[in-house]
Amino acid sequence: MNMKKLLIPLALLMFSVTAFSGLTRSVPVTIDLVNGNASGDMITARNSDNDFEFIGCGLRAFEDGVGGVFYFGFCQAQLEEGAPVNCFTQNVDLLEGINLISDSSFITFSWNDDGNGGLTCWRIGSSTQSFYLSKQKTGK
Amino acid sequence: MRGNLISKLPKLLVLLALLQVALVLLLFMKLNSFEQRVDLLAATTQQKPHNGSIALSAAENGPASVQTGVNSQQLRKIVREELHAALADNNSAGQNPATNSQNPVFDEAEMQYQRDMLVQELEFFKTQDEVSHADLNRFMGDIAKLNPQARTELLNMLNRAMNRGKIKGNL
Repeated sequence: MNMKKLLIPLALLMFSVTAFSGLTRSVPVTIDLVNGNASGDMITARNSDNDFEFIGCGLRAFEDGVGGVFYFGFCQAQLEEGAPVNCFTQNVDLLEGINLISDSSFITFSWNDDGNGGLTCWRIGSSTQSFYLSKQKTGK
Repeated sequence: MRGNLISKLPKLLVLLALLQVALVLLLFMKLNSFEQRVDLLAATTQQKPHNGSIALSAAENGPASVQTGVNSQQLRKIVREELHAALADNNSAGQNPATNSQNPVFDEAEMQYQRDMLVQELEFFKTQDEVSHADLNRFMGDIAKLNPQARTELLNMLNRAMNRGKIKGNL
């Protein structure tokens, strides 16, 4: 009877070790205003201790009213309250880069500054790999 | 120096007057050509009035309208061709390098009005604590309807305001 009581927790412990294995990588958001780039993975940003950190990109497509479509994309990141960095792009090839981002991606983007705070994205990249995913119980 | 400039002024004025006369003549020729084509089409289609043509009656379109057998699609095609030709002429004369016959045609006065309205709305956003997601999306939808130059200008203004923290909101 005592042996059974010991075996059950021991078995559970072994399974839990298996379920939580695998390489993990956490990349907090960084913003380099001097060189004009930002990066970080979305899960780490979402789970950060502060309420301000975020990173992401998005795109919009609007009918222009004269038979065409206007495509517009943006990337943004923030580390402190009220200090976001937004870059915009109308470059359709860069918009394709935004399309490749998934909800667990690492994101990196760069911009050119017009000197007045206007930032135009010139590089948008992402990496979607298992080590950016948060640990989840597999049910084993 | 000033005397030299004044002495050249009459020549410049004559040159400008000649240029204006040439443009008026060009416009007259275009209009004449357009009228001839419409007359020709009207004559052709009147011979077979029930062949897909639209007969506009006074009852349908008010007292000012007249009976016509011109197919509306043909008319639209002619107007489009004439507009494209006029735009191409403008471009070749260097009057409006930002547009060409392949780009959509924007009403410049209407564009200016819309642009000014959006600039005002942008200024209004700056007075708000936070601009909602819906308002920002609607704003960008309105920007999309501007011509490319005004579109880029407004997007840059929005971008600067957001980066400086003057407009708070998430895209």
